Amino acid sequence: MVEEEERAKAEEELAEEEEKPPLVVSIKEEEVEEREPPGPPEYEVIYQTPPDKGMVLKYREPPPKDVKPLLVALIVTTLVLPSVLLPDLAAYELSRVICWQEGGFIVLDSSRGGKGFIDGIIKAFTAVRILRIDTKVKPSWECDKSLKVGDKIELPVEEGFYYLIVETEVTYLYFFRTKAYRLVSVNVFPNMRVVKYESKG
Amino acid sequence: MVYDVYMFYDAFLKVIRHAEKHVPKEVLGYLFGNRYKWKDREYTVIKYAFPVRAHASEYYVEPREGELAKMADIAQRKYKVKLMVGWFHSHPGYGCFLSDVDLDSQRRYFFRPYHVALVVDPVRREFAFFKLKGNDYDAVPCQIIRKVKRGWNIGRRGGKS
Repeated sequence: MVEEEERAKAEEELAEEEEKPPLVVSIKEEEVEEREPPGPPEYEVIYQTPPDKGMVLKYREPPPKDVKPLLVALIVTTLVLPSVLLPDLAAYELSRVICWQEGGFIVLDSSRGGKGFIDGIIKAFTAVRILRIDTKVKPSWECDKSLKVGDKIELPVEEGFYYLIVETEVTYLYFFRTKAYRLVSVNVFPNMRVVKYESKG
Repeated sequence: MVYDVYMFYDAFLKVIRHAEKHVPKEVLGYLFGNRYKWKDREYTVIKYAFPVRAHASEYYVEPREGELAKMADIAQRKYKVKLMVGWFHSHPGYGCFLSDVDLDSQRRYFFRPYHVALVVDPVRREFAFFKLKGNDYDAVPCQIIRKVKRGWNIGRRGGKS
């Protein structure tokens, strides 16, 4: 009995559904913006058909790709990045400077190691020269600024603890240079050939 | 004076470079931009062209699965354009027209009044825009445009000294 009632109800509902008009969904078209077509003087026309007739047009050989982005990338990688990175490279180089005492002389030895990946990109030459030697016990002493790597410098003291203010100059691409100043502390002992060194950059 | 289609030169260059690079195979891609009206006439502006990876031969091209969704996503997220205004493909060496298959695609997917089909022949160096016209299609008037770059005009400022 219950099943019959349910069936009758379902049939009624179905009949009602069929009587209903089909559901109409209105899709509102997006409003089209009113805007003047692009044209002179803001825009230049490269190719065009007649305004009232479409047709096949010929085009010229496309120009080579704009090299500006490539140029910018080249400048950044060769000029800007090295000037940022190379002072650190110079510090690295400096940490390899070996100082030793030879009868009152310090020899700055350019044992240029260089990191392979930097060498692979840029041909870099590092020049290191001493600007000033400070000591805790003696007044500051300034050596000849024209000294280069490998030059012998006569020390003002025989032994002690020194700060060497050195100027590191990095030349890359053979003509661009960057300079950085580093503080190197050196302990000089009369009977030791190799002295301790450390760099503070 | 209103043309049916305005396409930016950068987008156009992208299409023809892509087509020339892949000769003798056909290439395919989608065009994004917007539609506007002016003096009761609707026109289409194409700002970007996105080539898609496709299964292609000299006489056949079909986008790979998922490429359309990917392009639509890029257009929306990166370039902030939401409207796909048409598609482009190449006919290397056999002229600009819509084949029966092309026409069928146009009817199925690009049936709105602003939808266009750009066909490029990278061998003959020809191109044309088409739109549906009743049961057939027709080439439509178009302009390839480029924004004029403004210089500093240093020499002109201040006149003669």
